[in-house]
Amino acid sequence: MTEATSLARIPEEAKILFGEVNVEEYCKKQKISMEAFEKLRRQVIELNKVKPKRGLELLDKLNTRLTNYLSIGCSGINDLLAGGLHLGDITEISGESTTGKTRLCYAATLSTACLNVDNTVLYIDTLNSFSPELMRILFQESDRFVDARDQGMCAENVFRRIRISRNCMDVFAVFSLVEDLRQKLQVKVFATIRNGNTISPTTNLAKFRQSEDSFYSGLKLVVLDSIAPLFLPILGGYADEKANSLMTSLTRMLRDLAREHDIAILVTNSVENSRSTNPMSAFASTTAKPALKTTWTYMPDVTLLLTLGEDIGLKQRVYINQQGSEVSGVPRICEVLRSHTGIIPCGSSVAIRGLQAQFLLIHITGSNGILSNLGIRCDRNGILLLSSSVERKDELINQSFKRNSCDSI
Amino acid sequence: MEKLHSMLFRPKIAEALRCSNFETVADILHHNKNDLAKRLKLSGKEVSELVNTIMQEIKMSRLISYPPKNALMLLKEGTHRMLSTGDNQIDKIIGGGILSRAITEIVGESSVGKTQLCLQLCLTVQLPEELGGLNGGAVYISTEGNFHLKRYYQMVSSFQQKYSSLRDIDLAKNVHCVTVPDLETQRNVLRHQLPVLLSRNNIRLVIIDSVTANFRTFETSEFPNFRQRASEICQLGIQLKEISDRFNAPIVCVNQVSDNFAIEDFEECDDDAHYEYNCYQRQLLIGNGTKIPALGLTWSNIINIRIMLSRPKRILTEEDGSAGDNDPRTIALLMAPHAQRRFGEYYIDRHGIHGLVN
Amino acid sequence: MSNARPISSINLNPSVQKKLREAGYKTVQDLKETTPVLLSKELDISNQEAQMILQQVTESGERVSSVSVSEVAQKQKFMITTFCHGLDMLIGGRGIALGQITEFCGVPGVGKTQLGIQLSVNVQIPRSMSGAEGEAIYIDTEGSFIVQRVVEIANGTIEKLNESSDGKNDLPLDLETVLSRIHYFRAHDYIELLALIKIMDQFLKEHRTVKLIVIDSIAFPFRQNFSDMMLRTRLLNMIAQDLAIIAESFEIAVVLLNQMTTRFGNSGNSDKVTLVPALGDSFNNKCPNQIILYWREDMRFAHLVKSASSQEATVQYQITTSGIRDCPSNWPIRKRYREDD
Repeated sequence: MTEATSLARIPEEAKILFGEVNVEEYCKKQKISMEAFEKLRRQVIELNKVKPKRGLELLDKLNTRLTNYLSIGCSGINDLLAGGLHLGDITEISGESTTGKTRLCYAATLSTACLNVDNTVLYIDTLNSFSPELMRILFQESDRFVDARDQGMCAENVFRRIRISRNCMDVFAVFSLVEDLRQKLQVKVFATIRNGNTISPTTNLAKFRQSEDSFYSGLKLVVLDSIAPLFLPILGGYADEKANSLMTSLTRMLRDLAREHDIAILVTNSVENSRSTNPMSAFASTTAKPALKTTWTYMPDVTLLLTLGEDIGLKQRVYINQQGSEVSGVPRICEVLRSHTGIIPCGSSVAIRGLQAQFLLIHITGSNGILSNLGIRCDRNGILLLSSSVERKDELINQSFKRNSCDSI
Repeated sequence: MEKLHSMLFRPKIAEALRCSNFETVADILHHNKNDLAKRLKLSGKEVSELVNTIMQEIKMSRLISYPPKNALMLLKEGTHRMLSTGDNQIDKIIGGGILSRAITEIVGESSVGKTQLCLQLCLTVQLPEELGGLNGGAVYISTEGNFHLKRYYQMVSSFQQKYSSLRDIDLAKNVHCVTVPDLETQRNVLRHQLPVLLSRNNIRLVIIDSVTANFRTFETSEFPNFRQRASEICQLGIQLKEISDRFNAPIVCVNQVSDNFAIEDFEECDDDAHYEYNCYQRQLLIGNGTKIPALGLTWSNIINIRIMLSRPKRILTEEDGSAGDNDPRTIALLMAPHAQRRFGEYYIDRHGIHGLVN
Repeated sequence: MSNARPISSINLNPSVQKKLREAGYKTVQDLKETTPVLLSKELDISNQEAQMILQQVTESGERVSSVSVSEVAQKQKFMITTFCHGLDMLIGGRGIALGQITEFCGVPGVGKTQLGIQLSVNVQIPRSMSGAEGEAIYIDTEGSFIVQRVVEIANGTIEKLNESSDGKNDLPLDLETVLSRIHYFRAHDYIELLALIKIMDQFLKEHRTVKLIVIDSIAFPFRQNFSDMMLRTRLLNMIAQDLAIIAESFEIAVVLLNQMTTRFGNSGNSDKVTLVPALGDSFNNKCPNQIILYWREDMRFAHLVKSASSQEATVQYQITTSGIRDCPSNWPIRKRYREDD
């Protein structure tokens, strides 16, 4: 019987299950009896069946979800996201270049790594623009990580727990990497795999025992910066369906990984031109929307859009951050463009899912030079935040400038 | 566009190409290697071989040097030649002369001496190389159609007095004149007649006087279509550069000036990028300071060298420069890959255009 | 069991994919258990084709990997200096980084070609003097590469190196060597440029010491009238991706020189004209490092628009007979934002 099962390849399950195979012929070919075949068929059904979930389980899951999140590195944006990056969700950050997407990714990476000494992060860099120096500077000079530094985490320790991809410049390479990740994570639950599954045990056990296992068991965040160059070369023209199907497959793989292993996924995307059709958006003059066309809009669970303050008339100004030092720069604006998870922001009235956009200002510090002239040492290379949650643009701007207080990373 | 079926490939690759719908070189090059491997059912190595063969084949018809030359080889071969203007001082200002394999623009207001300089170049190009010439003839493409014959002959006689070796040569024979009254004719001449002229006769210089005229129609029409104009200009640029490189001949284009509109609201604009544009425009101004070269940034992006001629403001105007001005005019090298910006003064007399030594 | 990588995500011919699907193969996992012989029998394809399919799966799996950031940080990085300290600091410390694409945009005459030539010479600075000690490839689409100027800049660099070397060593470089290490390609239109980029990896395998590729300019061949603008965008995306792969796998600095173009009409005021880098946003988003060179009065400035490792900043530079240099400190410094004037 076991022979038969090992011979009967899983790809043929579908045929066995759905009766596409002539049973007699099949039994003769594989030299098994009818009863054996029935047994095989039952086993196949057992393996592939989908178990229903009970409502209580789902509620449990929802509750854990609400409390199960990672900081994105900036408290105001965490508020926007009702806590932060939720484990099991795909969060997208889109925006034009220089709006701070990569910076935000670095902040999220460091926050996650500094939160817990077991946490690890995988950073998939498709533009080959990862800069360890910048990450080091962020870690060592930003006040957000003072606690971590006090607890004895040094840069070396943190960096060992952040892995960066190599050679991931096209979509097939990223698929390979994610598949590799899936296999390594799978090994974690090796013990619960039932008989009959076709994962070959020996090789994976050996890999499991390598030093990499601690990385995969503590993986909490996967950053994909950015997803646009993977699909833009194949979108458009003759190959659109292929690109869309690849996009869907990749997202499905990532989401399954995220759900199963409690990982948060952060993806950056660029923008393309558009005219806003949402009449309730305070930024009716928004001229950009996330790239990768319509299919992609269904992929992430939450989409944030970053825009430069210059577009709506904000100029470079001097602000005072929470630590009391003056910083200067051009503000950026972060908006929850879409949310499939019904984000309810803290401290406000119930928001209608997907329609109301919350606005906060993000502020990226300018160069040190200006401030050293004023004799003030500021928090370099950080992201500042003027916090407020209002619905209208002018109110927002006035409020922020009155309050003049901000967050920094 | 080269067709694939005329090229020699290995049987397997040739078969794969036959079964596909790739016909020209462009079809192959428009796809990346993975795509090609998939559609032609070839391995990665075979696709590389295919691209290599294509490269070998097209380098015959085009001027690609592959494997490439290095800079030392280029130096030893003397790829770039200089055409003297006939006057040492002006040569010094413009960096040694007019560079071959490049597009030089001579820009300025009307009657400042642009045509004068071009006529002079038609003469100097016929000098032997030791005297700064290129030992060949010239093509004068004009849009107005009036080659200044009288003035040319005036200069010829002075020229022949200066260079005794040219005394017996008919200096008008080697200058071919073509008239292009509109854009359509211009396109045809550049695409068909010019390469033929250059390959059959010993032509070493191409002058277009002026390159602005045929593009004016875009501005004066009811709906100025700048995008169309920009693409026509780019097309012209690519054609000229290819001809210049193939025949190792300098191309001189005369350009006119237009008003700098941006200058009026210079102080009021608060948009940084707009401010950038204004600053860029301003650095193009010399002399009077209100005129900039026509045809905009598109054309500026195409030329390699820009020489600007300008006059100081005068109350009286004179008909032609042969009477001799009292005020010296300014010649400026505004842009060149091989020389710094320089300014100088010049005057025009019946012998031609001369630089002033300061 | 979570979703394994589906067969549709492998780069295969659609007909082959169909055959795989019909044979019951759904995921890459399934393919890993079979051999070429078995596969060829099942799908009714040749042994070689089956081998190619399986190769696709294993090859791509081997090529990608991940390393910890501490490993990356420890690797010593060589940079290509511009000889203008301000510019070097602007770009991220000591100059242009290897392995990345850096884009320089500017109006005509501001010095893009000069910068390209300067980098082609400076990439050859020996390791002992903190240089990249490599050769350069110069792809010229405009015809601005004039050898006489290269000689001047090379002599300037040699002189500068001689000044800083102890004098007891042999002269690190001489003119002929410097010139022989700059490989010059001339591309007249976009077809030639595409062809060059496609055979580039083979050329690089034969010339392993190349550490810099300059394309001057990337804009010129694409300014012509493309009847299908989507084709142009797709080609540019393809070039950007190919160059990024080349940059990373061979650890080469790719420097793209781009033109500026005018954009009419901003929101509100249609009379306003702005200067933007050519070739559109989608292309410009692909370059992780972008610097705009511009004029202010008679002075040249470089403004860092975006970088993988630095902040937005502006610096002044000048072009001398010997090449790109810093401005003397007694020159007045001008800021970009007018409020500071």
